[in-house]
Amino acid sequence: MSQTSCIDAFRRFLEGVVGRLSFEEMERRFSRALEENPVFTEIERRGALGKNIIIVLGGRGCGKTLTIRYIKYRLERDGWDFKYISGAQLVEQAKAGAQGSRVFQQLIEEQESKLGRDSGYRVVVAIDDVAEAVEIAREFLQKEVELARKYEGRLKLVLAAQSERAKAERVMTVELLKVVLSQAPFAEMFFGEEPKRVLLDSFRNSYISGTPVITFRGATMINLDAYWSSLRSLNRVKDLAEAMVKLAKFYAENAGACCEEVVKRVEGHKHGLALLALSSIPKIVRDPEARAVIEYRGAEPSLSGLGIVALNGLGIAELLNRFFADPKVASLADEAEKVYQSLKSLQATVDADTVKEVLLKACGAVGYMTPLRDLPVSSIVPQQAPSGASKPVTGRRKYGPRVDLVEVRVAASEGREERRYVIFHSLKVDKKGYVTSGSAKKLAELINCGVPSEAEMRYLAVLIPAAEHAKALYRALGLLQAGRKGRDVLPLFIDKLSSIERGFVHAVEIGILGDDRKISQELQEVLYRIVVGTLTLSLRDDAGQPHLAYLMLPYVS
Amino acid sequence: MSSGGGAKRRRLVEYVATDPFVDLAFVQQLLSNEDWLQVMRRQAEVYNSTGDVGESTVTFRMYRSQSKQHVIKALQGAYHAIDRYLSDELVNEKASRAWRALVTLLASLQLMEKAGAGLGELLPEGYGRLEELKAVIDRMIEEKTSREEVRAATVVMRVLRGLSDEQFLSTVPKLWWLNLVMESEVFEAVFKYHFLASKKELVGGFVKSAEEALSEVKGHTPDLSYMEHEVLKALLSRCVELRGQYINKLQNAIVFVKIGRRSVGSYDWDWFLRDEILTYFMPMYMAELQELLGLREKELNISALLSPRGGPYGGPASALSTLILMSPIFMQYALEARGEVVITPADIVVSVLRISRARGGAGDFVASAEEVAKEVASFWEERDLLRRLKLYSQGEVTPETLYRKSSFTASLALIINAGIGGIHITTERRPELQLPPRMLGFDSLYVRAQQLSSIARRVWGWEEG
Repeated sequence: MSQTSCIDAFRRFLEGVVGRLSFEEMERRFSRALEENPVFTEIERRGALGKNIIIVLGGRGCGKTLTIRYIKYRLERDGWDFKYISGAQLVEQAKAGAQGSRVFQQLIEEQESKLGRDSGYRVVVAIDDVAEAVEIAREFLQKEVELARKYEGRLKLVLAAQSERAKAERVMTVELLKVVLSQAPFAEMFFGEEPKRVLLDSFRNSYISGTPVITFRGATMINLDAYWSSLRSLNRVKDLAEAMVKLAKFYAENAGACCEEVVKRVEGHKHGLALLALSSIPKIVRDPEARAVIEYRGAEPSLSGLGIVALNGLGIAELLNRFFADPKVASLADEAEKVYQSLKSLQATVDADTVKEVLLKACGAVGYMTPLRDLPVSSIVPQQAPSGASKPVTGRRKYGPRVDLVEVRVAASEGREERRYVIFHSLKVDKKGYVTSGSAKKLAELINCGVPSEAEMRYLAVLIPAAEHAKALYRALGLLQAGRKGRDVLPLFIDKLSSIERGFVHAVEIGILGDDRKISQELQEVLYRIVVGTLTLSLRDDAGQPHLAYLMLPYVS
Repeated sequence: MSSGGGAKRRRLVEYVATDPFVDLAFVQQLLSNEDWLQVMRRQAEVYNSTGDVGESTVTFRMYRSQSKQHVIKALQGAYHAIDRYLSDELVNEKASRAWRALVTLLASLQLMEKAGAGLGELLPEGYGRLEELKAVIDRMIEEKTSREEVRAATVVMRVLRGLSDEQFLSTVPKLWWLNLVMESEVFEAVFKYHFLASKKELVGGFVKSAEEALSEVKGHTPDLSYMEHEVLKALLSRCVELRGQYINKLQNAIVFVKIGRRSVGSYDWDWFLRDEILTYFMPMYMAELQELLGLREKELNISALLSPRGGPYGGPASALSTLILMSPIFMQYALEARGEVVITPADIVVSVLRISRARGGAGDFVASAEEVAKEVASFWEERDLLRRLKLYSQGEVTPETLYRKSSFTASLALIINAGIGGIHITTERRPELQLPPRMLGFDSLYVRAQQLSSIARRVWGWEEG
């Protein structure tokens, strides 16, 4: 069984790379076919390496160090000297007290003297895991920014930081962006006017818009998570599948002799594997100002032994490893492959109610959310006795209208639990295409009796069939409350879902595929997780904000 | 004896209704519930951006329904039959004021944090530490209930004297604010008095003619100052609708504002009648602004300014009204803490609108920072603010010194970062001043008068069109 041993070698390689790798280790392991990596192609295409400051952000395992490795490989070719500094190293040096600051001083002096001596000398200073050192090396970092300005075109500063890195309730990466970099001298030369706003907005919006490389005046931000987020969509399963095949090839080539068998098997199940990868759940950076979505392996329990962790390099490496190791995962991938094939041909129309139903079902399956159906409003918002009511209210209406809602419990700061309530209301459309007066009235009633309340973390998600029906929402809000749209009254447009997404919603709802095949329990769970982690990102308002995802995704823990 | 004309007089200062400890008990309950505080923090954010103060929230309703019991429980040791005097109407009113006071307090804190300016300058660094405030409130209520028949002022004085300088300075602005909001109709009356007394020629003319008339009587020794004092006192009594001999009852209602001052030596009425800063500045700002906006009748009530708003400009108008109401507190704090005069956000808005009027209307214009400072000084001069400020400040107060002050940029940063459109910065000659938080250079203000007055009108609930 020569094939098996070749697969074993591949797996051993994967097991070796999923742990934390030092830069040198990374350099040793990944030496071949660097251009083949899809992430780097993207960076290349956008010309990110031409800027003076390159910020590389991303959750754990999205390939930051590998990106630095790539930057080294690319720029060394053009005659750049390369200096690698790790954040942990800086921390250690700073701990040494007075000597520490001398080390920083020395680093700066060394660079300056070389740059000053030789006008042809060009250097890349790459600081990895810089978030670690934000607190102690702030001045050093700002000095580096100053140097990048002074020796423009000859000193490139590469800063890589783990997006989720937090210390004592402060997200250090956000700190890096909003304090260290935006308050550095000449910050506007690099990031444009208002560096703080620009940097934070770019960080937040890059994920939801799926643009991994953002260029500023003299700097660039590579948000590796955003690269992956652009693949986190049911519409792009094909691309994700191709990317996974490419990654498998890339790993296989670096594992030693390229194992054809690995590539062939991955190729055969690529769509299924892509669906499994989509069932991971992204996380939200716990910073009220940044509130960025990232790909990150959290501590949430993995269901059905699948243990999908994150949609990024690390997660895919782990998935590929399991695919070859665990027959259960292999059969799941097999089934998922078939589901994808039938989804492609499935033509389904879904209405707002179906989407609501699927969301409710899916929320119950992920553990930290509880769907509550047909609940009288009075049980979440105690009703006030209407002043001057002409006749006593009786029967069902006594408790107010009934609603479906989801309770979201996520761990917030200081060990506290945050409870949010997402109340769903779907606007119904009659045969002529008008919003029915019943559902419009109910919407107004829900708003008037205080169901949505931002302060108390109750949000009203209004599922709207199409953009032209949004006026019913404006009518219900009225002029004086129009400002609540997008805050606690969240419109979500169903017509923004593509046909494959509609087919998916339909399949999840009935639990049966087009050819009357029942979806297995395990796969059903995978599909539910795709609803929470992926479909919620496609349900957006007219400004392109995925409000539901912001509310339903857990914090980085 | 009938009280003349048969009209039934409303007594503004009442047992329980204007008792400072009842006010504190209402606030104490809100402060002691961490979950409620979280809701209020989020509501403060909403308030700054949409103008909704959150009185429709379940949390507020829950608080309101429990507050009566809490107040009775907290104060039954000191007040007998307090439950009889706590009508539902009063409880609802006080509960909603306590809620508004805290939400706006948190909102002002958020504005300062967002602007990266004002804390330590216009308000103490420890302004956001509500636990300190809660400790002081707890102590005051404990002090009051542990003894029989003790005067409110004595209790308050005792607790405030027990605080360190730093604690005192970081707590009193919060107490002033709570006092102003919780007793807003009493303060409205006090503002009315200041409004009246600021009309110098009116009072001075009357005093003079009365003394002249009296000098016809044999043996009368003219004493203008004594007459003025008594007239002013009578005016205050009239405004707060109390008969003269009961004027000391007023002290209880406004106790934190009146005696929470270390800069004042004695707390007699004479000082309050003639030289008061905090409650004098408030009506001057309000009256001047309303006049500039073309409102005929003056609205001096604080509650009216804190009522929820919606619609376009709802958020900025709410932020602006908080800043206007806080401005006298900024000034008083700076005098207490550093004996220094500051330029407040209200000063800037007033002077910008005054310049706009002087230039003849609604067009956009550029005014240099110096010009604005000059206008502030002339507004202070006109409204008898400058004389009062000079009594307490150590430094010189001239337009040149004013525009160099960091409080000028801090106040401007608060206005601009709160999203109050209409005032922007620009550079005409040299960027001499720096606007926090990014320290953008500027030397002039670019004013879009139309937009600014639209927002300012919304402060008093004026709808456009």
